[in-house]
Amino acid sequence: MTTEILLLATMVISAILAAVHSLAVRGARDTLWLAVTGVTFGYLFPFIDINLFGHYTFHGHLTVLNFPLHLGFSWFALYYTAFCLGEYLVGHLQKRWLVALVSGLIFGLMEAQWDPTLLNLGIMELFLPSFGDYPWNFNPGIPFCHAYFGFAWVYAYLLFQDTPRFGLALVLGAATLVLWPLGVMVWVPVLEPIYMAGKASLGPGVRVVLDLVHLGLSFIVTGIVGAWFLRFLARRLARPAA
Amino acid sequence: MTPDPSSPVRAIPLVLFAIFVAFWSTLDVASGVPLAVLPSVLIALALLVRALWGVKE
Repeated sequence: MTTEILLLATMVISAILAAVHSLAVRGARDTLWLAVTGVTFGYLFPFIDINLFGHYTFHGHLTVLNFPLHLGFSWFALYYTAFCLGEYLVGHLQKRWLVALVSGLIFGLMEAQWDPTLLNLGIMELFLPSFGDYPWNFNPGIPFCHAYFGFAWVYAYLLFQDTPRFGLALVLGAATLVLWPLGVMVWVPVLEPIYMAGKASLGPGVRVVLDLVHLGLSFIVTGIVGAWFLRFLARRLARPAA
Repeated sequence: MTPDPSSPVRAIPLVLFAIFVAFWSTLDVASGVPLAVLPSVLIALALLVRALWGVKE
């Protein structure tokens, strides 16, 4: 319980600091976009996940009361940290997709740090099927999905920040973030029999590689589709309202 | 809308990353998952390389 309270306190403090920085550097409108999409998605994703696919995926100990705190604040604060680090590392190259990609990969790495610990402590449970058997059911490919979230969030912001139809962009940008969980979770029931068959016939090394390839490829494919969709929306939204 | 170069606000992203590293690394080691610290080390190395050899702003 103490760990959870410390976690919440850290995330709330981080979210406040992120908001202070964003207000100073990006202004009130952009901060609103980033906070609303980050917090909304932090809430929306587990809601969809647990209600539609809870049998296959995760969250033994996250309750409805905890969603906004655990996931909303933490996702805004941690996405924002990854975004700023991505800007610092490659922002000078003036390529929006690259800033988004590096920010996403940093967010994936951060997620790869906290997932095993939360799983080990029993604060979270994962049930995503995989070819291999890992401690606490942690699938090493899972950070790729968080990398996609970070990528899509940053790319949507960078593409939409100058659009005249800001409210619409805000809603559509948040909706794009759901591409991955829907894409992955919809096919999980289909893939589960394949996973079970593979477990019996493949060596341990092959299983790890297959898990990394599966979710790594998903990252690439969903990233390309998501990026194309966001660019399409950005072009449409750039036109003046009729 | 870049803040004044001397403004402490500019340091917030690094403070946020430091909070992340401090909290999770402590928890990783205390809970017996020390290898989970590796991602933070990788990110910190990338930031170090950028600070030492990156393009000057």
